[in-house]
Amino acid sequence: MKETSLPPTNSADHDLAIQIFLRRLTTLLTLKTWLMLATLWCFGWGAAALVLRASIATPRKPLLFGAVGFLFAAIAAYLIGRKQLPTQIAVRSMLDRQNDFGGLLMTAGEQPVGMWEPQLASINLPRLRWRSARAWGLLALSVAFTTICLLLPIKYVSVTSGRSLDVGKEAETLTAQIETLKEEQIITETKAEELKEKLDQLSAEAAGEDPAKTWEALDHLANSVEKAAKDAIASAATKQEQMEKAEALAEGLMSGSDQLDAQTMTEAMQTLSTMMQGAMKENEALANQLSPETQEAIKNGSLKPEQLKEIANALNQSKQKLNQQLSKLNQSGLNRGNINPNSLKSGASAQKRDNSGLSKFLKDHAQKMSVADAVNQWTEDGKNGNGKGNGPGQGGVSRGRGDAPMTWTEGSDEANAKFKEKALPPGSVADLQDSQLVGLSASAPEVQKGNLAAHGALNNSATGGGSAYTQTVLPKHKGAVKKYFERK
Amino acid sequence: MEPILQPEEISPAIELANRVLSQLDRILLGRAELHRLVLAGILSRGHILLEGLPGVGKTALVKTLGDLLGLQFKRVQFTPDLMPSDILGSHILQGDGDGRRAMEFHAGPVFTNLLLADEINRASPKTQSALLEAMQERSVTLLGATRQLPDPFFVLASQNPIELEGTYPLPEAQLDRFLFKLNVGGADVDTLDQIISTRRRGEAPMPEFVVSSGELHQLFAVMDRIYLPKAVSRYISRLVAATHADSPEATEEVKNYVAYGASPRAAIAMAEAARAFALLAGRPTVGFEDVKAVASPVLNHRLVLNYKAKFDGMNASSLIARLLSQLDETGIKLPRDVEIEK
Repeated sequence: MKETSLPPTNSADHDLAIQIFLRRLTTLLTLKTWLMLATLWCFGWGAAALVLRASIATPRKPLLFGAVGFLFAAIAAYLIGRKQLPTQIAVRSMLDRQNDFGGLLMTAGEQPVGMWEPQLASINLPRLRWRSARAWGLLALSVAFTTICLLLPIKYVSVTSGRSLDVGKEAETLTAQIETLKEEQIITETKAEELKEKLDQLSAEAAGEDPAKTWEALDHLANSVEKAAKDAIASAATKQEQMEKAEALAEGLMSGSDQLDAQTMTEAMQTLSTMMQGAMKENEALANQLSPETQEAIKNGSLKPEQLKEIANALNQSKQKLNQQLSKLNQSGLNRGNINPNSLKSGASAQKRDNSGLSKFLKDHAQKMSVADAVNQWTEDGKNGNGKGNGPGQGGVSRGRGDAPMTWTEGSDEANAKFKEKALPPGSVADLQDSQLVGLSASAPEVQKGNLAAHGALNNSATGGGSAYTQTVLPKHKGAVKKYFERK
Repeated sequence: MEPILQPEEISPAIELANRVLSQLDRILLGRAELHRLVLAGILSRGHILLEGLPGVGKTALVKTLGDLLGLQFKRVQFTPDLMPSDILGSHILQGDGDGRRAMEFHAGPVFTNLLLADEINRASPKTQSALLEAMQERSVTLLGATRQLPDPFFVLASQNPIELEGTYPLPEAQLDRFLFKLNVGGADVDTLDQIISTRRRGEAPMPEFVVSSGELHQLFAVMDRIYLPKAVSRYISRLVAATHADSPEATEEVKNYVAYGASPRAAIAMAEAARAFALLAGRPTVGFEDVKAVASPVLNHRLVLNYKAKFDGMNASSLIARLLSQLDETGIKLPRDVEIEK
């Protein structure tokens, strides 16, 4: 505050000087008090923001309204500052002392001083000194504290961040599946490592306060793995079918080549070469089981009858390997309805199928269809359980002869059918709106080993390893869950 | 309310006071500040206790003052066998021509304008106490008859430091009746040199003029019109109150070392002495500086310090100096880190 000199000549001027000084003092005291209150408010605001963000994850925007506190602090500071002001008499006496008036100015406030007035020619208003460095420093510190409290990412402040989501069981399953895919060379080693890395990262970042995100990521990863398995299974099915046909033809030709004429035999050998070429193209392992001469003969279409046995054996072994692969995929849970596990048995049983009748079948149908079509029909019928019935006395158990047409007679009258209505048992969560949040718990979660969801959509889905947040949400329910939370 | 003194009213009084001071300074060398305080005490119509070692000029000062002011002056040398009647006077059985006898009062030396009670602490407390009524009420009561003392009446007492042998400390009641207790210290080298070279056998020169009784009463009349502003009055009150350990404004030293603080008489004395100082400064109003100038001589003999003060080497003067520096005159209370630059 600057020192100023006023030239008063009467008591009104003295009063003016006192008022000016009081105004300056008011400003200073208000500012000082505001600094103190603002500092306290800042610390309080920051601490409250920190607690709210840490405990209930309050967003930043509502917390910013705390800045209004500065305005209230200013009002309070003004009121407090005014209360701290000295009286006019005290200020007058202070000015008297500061200006060495020897009591004249004080007397002038009580009675006229007459001829002494010129001695009060000028009043020097004293300077006000405020050592404010500490106050400003504390304010800066408090503002910094509040800013940090408001800007700090919630994951660093959240007290719930320590509660990680237990996805160990799911991760273990997925790891095993990835390993299986790698062993079976369905995916490359690089791809397997990449998937494992993603899984590890996901397990590490699995956060309790946002389980849906983790589950979605896990689902996505599981889908990737499953897709690879699905493609492999589809490919295996194709290979198996190809090899099954080729095997049937090879075995048929081995056992009954004498029943075929030369033309049919040549055509059959050509067809077998074509089939083998296709199968070898799809299955590189098959080629390794054939001698170079046989491979060359297949390539040139010049197969000889003595090579048929080698081909049949190679096909049989390849089929077995393929079956083993499918069996592994099935055991690791990667075969989710893509192929019926029973079909694997039928595939295994196909190698026991007697293809000795194929030569006769080819001879019988030589004029009607090509060898390839005949083999297709032979193998298709075999799958339907009719193959064995092609021969006399070898009909199906309940459907008559293998070539007997299926008849659908005496069908039930749908109009008169009576259906008994039966209420299905309620799901574990009857209505999502009525459900309760199960993910938050202050106490240590109870570990229930081997606990399986018993009802509804979560039937037989495994829960996690004990985390309070473990709740399996199936991909098909994600939409419903998302809508529910959006509505909230 | 009486209007404050205007310059033309106060200037003759100031001129006279300055003339007295200059005479004192001329006669008694090297004691300007002491002379100023003594004159302030006289203008305040108060009694003054001068304390100092023998030979420092206490008696000479009082004698000079008596000569200068044209007042009736008497001196009593206090000794251990001095009796109260030796000071106040006594009744003596007297016979008249008719053969009747009656008790007649023979006034003691107290019946004067200026009484020099030399070495007052050599008399017994009984004799010292004989002055109590005279000093406070300016009257003497003997055998049921009260007699007024002349106006003005001052007691200027000198005493040796109480640690000296053969002295009796003055009772607190009497000490409180002294407006000032002034310490008369030794003279410095220049002063001693000047005394030796200019004063044959130490005889002081006679005053060049004598203040008449009328002039003196005029001075007193002006004194009565020196204005004491409310803020200054408040400051005196706070200052005196702060000498009590239980006062909210008492300093830590006061709380630790003062057994009994100053009396209301001290506040009255301070106000009067401050008025005198304002007059000597040529002002019609009392300022804070006047109060500060007289605070120590007014209070130093009125504070009763406890044993801790003696142990810690704390005396009344240093305690008062601390009090004056810590107690804000205006009573303005600002936060600690805000201050008004002086």
